[in-house]
Amino acid sequence: MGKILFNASSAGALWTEKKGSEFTETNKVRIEELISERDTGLNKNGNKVKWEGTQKPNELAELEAKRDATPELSDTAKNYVKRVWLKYEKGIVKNIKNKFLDKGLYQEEESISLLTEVEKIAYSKNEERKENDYFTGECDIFKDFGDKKIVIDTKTCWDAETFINAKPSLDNIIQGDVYMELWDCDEFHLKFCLVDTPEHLVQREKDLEKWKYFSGDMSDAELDLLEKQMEKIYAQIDKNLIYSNNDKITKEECIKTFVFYRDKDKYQKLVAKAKLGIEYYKTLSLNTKL
Amino acid sequence: MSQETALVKKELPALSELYDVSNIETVFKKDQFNLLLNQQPEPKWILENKFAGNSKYIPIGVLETLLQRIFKDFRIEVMREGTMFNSVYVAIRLHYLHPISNEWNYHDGVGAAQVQTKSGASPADLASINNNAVMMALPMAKSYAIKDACDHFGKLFGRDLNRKETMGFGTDKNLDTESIYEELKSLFNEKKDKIPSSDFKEIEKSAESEFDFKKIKEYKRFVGLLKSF
Repeated sequence: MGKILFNASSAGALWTEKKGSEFTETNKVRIEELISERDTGLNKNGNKVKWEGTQKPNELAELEAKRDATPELSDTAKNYVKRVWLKYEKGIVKNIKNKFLDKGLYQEEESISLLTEVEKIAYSKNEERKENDYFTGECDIFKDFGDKKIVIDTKTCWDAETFINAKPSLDNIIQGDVYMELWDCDEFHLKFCLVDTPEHLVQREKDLEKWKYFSGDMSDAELDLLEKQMEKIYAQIDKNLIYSNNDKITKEECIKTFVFYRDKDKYQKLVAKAKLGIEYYKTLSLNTKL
Repeated sequence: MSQETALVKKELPALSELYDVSNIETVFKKDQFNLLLNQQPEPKWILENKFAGNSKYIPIGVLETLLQRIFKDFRIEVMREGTMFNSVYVAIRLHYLHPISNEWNYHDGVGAAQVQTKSGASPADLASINNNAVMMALPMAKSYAIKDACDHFGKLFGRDLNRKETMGFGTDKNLDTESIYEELKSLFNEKKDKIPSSDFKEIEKSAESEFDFKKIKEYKRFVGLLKSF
């Protein structure tokens, strides 16, 4: 078995917790409260409370067991490791292709240009893939400002509606954690961008709309009428997908930035998950029942 | 935007990448010239042939004027002539001096015209051929042959007049990449002192690396930025 590397963009799956096993901040606070009650006989408000003969000792034991439990992979993480296994061991990779990804691929440089134009900073597309013992990744932009280094990932949104609702997903955040480690950076900037949709994708949208009404047995006159009726719809599709000629939209508002900072403890937890992932990987076979 | 699953980016070369970069200026000019040849012809040049289902055509006089205006130097060589069924045909070779490459090139063309027979006679009845019929038909066939050869130049010469399915001609936008690259280099040298240190490395790398067609958007981006300094 060669070196198994998890891709930064999908490593979020490793981070997911098994249902009910997640040890939360609330759990942590509750343990502290319970220990204090047990040791002092006083609750957090300073009132005298009972300990013996209540459910509290059991609650504390359960929470401590949860805290000290050996980390486990969630089903999501296991499914992800299976996909990695299929890729490395059998060369099987599911081809995900949709209009959202298409636009992202075609307009990546356009989004970088938008950032440069608005922020007045020279950004170049990073072309280097980096890896360490567990992860591999290729960030969109690496920028060294001298006093700090940042990695940027651009997400080109499909349209104004997806842009207005765009928020960082767990995958986006973990991707940033991995990039910060791989590029030894202090900050990760996740930038959602709204740029024009390429002409061929706009045309595809128009064609799809037209096919809803088109019929092969239409006469020439009916086809002409259909084209005429479609004009309004085409104009709206243009408006929905092309922004550079819309005077109600400024370039500044076509960028939405979320900033994340490097957290070495969090990364170490991610490494622990990656190690679990590799252990699980070793147990897999194509006809696995795990 | 990398994905675990292999999202393979388009690896086909751009048309412009297939050209010799050292000769890019000529290629660019040729592309512009082809754009000229693919403009719509003036509507007033276009006539309809009522004897051929109202098909559209540009008269030979207009075509010859266009040839003179655009190519300055051209000549027509009659390669073959003869009879075919009840028609005469002419095959010509239209030689022209390409204004960009300054090289002689040619397009071939063929044309045929029916030989007129007496009214009521079968077109196949060679005994009923009118006087002067060949004299009339042969130059006509030659004109058709010239038009046929001219069609190869582009829309301006009437190529798509009677075609339903046509494709618009646009220049290869990548061909002007080098002029943007040159602009970047010159702006970089001019504004070196004004570039913030944190941006210097990126712009320098772009301006001083070898010319690369794939970097068109980066060149444009940095030209825009440098202009703002």
